[in-house]
Formats: sequence, structure tokens, C-alpha cells
Amino acid sequence: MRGIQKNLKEFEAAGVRPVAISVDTPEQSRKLASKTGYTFPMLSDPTAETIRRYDLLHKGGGMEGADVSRPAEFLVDSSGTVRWVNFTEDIRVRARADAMLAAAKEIK
Amino acid sequence: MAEIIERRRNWAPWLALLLGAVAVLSNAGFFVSMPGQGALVWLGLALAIAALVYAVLGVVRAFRQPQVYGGKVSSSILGLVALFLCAFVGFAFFGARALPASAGAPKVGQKAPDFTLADSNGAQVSLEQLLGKAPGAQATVFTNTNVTSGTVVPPKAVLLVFYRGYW
Repeated sequence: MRGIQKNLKEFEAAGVRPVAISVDTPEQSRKLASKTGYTFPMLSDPTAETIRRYDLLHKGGGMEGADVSRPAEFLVDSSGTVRWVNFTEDIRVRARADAMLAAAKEIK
Repeated sequence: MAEIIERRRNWAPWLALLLGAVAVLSNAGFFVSMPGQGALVWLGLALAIAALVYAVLGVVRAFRQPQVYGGKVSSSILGLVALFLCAFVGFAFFGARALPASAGAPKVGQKAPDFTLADSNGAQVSLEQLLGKAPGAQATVFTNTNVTSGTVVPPKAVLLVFYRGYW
């Protein structure tokens, strides 16, 4: 997500709006945003209902065995259709913003 | 006539220790923003496996050819240390990759399921709003404002970034 913040102007120029989603509460998101300087929207899904709907639930994958989302990115166009998907295979490997930007530029 | 046995240095356990240490330290590469992190995963694993091979080699040489190599104790200790280092790499590898299959996630061409979630200020935001198809959700940072007319233009796309959460 650091990469997204760094390239926010490029995303904006490509007409793409990044939105982050996790099980964090709004308060936790605010704390994270103030620590990291992220300015894009951070949405809270504490019950993981949306995460489940997207089939991204990672049971016990978080701190102290909390259920969290597995990392994944979806590029959704204005008709609500998914145009690009990225799933991490290894949580240590950071998602690259340049791959997301390249996919974003493909959308007319 | 006395047989002269050539003594050789048992370097294998030391190499095992070095490779194991490098394998563990390579994980530091995941904490910086650098390209090629995908390759780093396999490099670390390869180094750990190489470390194990040399650890075994060192122990085998020390015990099978003690007159030549010696170092039964040192090779065993170094081998054990190398084993621990490799176990660390192994745990990190399998732990980081133990992810759900997510076979039911929306695929390219499918509709993204709608949602309504609270943003960091507690305001409810839906996917429809983010796409500009429903009123609201324009006041978040990042409004596509048309430079000439000053009107707010809906985005071409939304990038949903699901992440594990604060830790």
C-alpha cells in the first residue's frame, strides 16, 4: 500500500481510485493512516462479511489467531466488472504498484 | 612404513553455517521496497537446502573419515545450528504461503460483489458510490475533478486492495 500512496498521482491520472479494505475498525484505520500517511479511503469490514463474499477469508491468519483477509487486489471498472485480479502467493512479497498501474492503464 | 594421511580441513560445516545465516538474513529483503521479492522467496529456500546438504556432508566426513577430516564435535554442533537456521527459513516459507484457495473470489469478467462499509471517519460507503454510480463518496481524498469545467468526474475504475490489517 506504500507503493500505492507513492504513486497516487499516477493512479489519479489513470482515473483509478484505490480503496483499501480490511477487518480493522475505523479507529485502527485512522491510526494506521496517521502513522503511514495514507490518504486513500480505508474501509472497515470487522465482521469480515465482505471479505467472505469475495472469498478472501484467511481464518486465524491474523494476530492472535484473528480472522483476516488474505491480501488481494481487484480492479473494478465503472460497470462493476472485475478487469484485473492479483492474489499474493506469499504474504512476504509486496504487491507492486507498477503492475496495478499497468492494468489500470489498460482500461479505457 | 608409516602411512602419511593427508589432513583436510572440514570446511563443509562452516559453509553450511554461512549459507544458513544468509538464508535467514535474506528475509530482511522483504521489509524493504525492492523488486524481485518473488525470486528472494526461492533464493532463501535454495540457500537453506544447500546449507542442509553441506551440514550433512560435514558430519558424514567427520564421522566416516575421522583421520582425514576430524571435527566430530564441531561438525555436529555447526550442523545443528545450521539445522535450526534452516528450520527458521522453512517455517517462514510455509507460514507465509499458507493461504486459503479463494476459488470463489470474483474472476476477471465477473461482477464485483457490492458492499457498504464504514470509512475511517465512520461514514458508510458503498461500491456503487465509489464507482460514481450512486451519489456520495465524492468527498474522500481523490476526487477526479475535471480541470476545465471543475465538475467531479467519476473514476474509470476502483482498485480494491484487501489487506490483512494493522500489525
